[in-house]
Amino acid sequence: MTPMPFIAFFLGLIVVPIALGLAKRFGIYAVVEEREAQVFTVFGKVLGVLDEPGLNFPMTQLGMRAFLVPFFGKRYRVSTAWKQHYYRKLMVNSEEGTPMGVGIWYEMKVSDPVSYLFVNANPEGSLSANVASSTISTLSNLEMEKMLESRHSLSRTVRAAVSPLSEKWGYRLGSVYIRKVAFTDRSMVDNITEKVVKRLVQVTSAMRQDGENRVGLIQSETAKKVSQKLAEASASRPAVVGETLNQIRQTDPEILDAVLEVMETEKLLSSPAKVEVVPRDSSILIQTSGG
Amino acid sequence: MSLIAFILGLLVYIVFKVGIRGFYTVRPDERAVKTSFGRAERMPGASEQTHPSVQDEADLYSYPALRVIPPGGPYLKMPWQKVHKVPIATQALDIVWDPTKQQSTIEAVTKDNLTTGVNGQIRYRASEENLYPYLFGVESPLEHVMGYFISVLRERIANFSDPKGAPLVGGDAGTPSAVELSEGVSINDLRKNLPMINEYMEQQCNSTIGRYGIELDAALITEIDPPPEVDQALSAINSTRNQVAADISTARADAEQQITMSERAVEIARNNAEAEVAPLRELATILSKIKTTGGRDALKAYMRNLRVPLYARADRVIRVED
Repeated sequence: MTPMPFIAFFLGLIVVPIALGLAKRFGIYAVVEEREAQVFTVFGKVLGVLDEPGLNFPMTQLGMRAFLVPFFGKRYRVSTAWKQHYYRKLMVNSEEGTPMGVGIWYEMKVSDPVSYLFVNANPEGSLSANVASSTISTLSNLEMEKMLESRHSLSRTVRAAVSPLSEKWGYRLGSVYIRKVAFTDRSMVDNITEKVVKRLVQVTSAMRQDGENRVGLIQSETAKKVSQKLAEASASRPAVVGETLNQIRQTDPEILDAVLEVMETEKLLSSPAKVEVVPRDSSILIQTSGG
Repeated sequence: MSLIAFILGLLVYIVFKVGIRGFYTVRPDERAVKTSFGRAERMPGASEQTHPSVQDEADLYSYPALRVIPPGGPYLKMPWQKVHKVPIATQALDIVWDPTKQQSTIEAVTKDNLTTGVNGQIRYRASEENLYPYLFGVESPLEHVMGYFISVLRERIANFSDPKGAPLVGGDAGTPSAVELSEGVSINDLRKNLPMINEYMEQQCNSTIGRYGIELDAALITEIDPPPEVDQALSAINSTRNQVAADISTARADAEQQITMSERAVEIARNNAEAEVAPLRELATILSKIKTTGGRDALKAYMRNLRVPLYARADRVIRVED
């Protein structure tokens, strides 16, 4: 049995990927991914950039010289997606002379692939150094409080300072945030901790004192109210009885006399006292001793 | 024969690439985006737009709207197409996560310069409505979200003071802040207002949808840990606050009891007095009626009649004859 059909079958299997691979290798077509740019150089010169995602035909877009790229040039793939970098432990001194550690976080993306590739040998390193330098110059000699509390506005200042240079190197700077501001001196951290502890102790004693004052206030107010009420209670009988007697008197004084006489007589009758009746206006000697 | 074998080989390749590898499904917790020759399928007629959640720096974060393939299938893709699947289920991540550094807590400086450790979690999911940045626009969306989140969080902690704005030690005895004297100590304010901080973080991180295609479901700052000595001092404040509250409560209860008792005493005295004057009033009414009906003579007669029993009680009566 001849092996030809098997070879033909195998060729049929691989002909398409090989043809496509060769076409791609020789620059017939190029697939540009999303957020990608492809820079073509030939004979040491930049031929052009393909940055529209999808199927591209370099020869139609960059001219026939694109055909020479596989032989005499190079294709660079550059990602244009956002990247981020966190620069830790930058040292700055506040206006008060306090050494502070600063961390700055920033985003960047390639905006001009050609500049990115050829203007600066190490654009990321340079950008990072620029951000660091700008951060230090922006934050140095600021009041510590401002450094801690106004980070976002300071971040914008840093961004504004760095952006022009980064654009020159083909980078675009995105958000820049001062991510960390911290004390680097351990003894200073301890001092601040001690200060806060003292403040808290002061708060504790003030709270206790305030509590005692409030309790005292409640107790004294209570004593005042209770005393007023007890006085009111003592005064109730004279007030009520006096008012009633007054009312009866205002109505008819004779009736008041009669009422009191009736009550006196009734009490006299109900009491065990000895009774001696003498006429009105008589002058007699009354013997009060008993037995 | 060889031509037939060649065509057969070609067919097998096509069947394999289109028929077997061409079908795909999307799980319920996934969404998919298809690229053709590397280009993602855009929504027809949609151009690059900034998501409404990005309020500042809008020019930096403009992305096209993509055609999103919903869960289900089987779907067919051509050999030059690629399917990018994105899990959209909510996921949780410790805020200490940092691919470049191992750490157990996030250091943050408070308004009163105290260095504290912060711990917590964020819950997030890929935003179905803005998949472009998540898939293509940002190299590592989660790192960007964390970088942004931690920056905002640290600034918030550095700025935070209690919104009630009560003074540290305070004021007149009449002010309601007596048991709230620890207001103004940042660490205490922060701990007391954790929900508010979480809410603020969620608000601030709304823009992550537009920036990075990640939707922040919740920010859960669970711990703000000061140094141990500050913790002890805070515990002392807490104990004192409880003690003060208990003392005040007891004093109020005692006061209430004493005032109630004194009010009762007044009522009792008044009732006793009313009881005393009731016969007076009644007698006065009766005597008035007698006088009204029969005149002064009738009243005098009544009085004389009243005194008659005295004679029965009398030991001796000196009677003067007219």
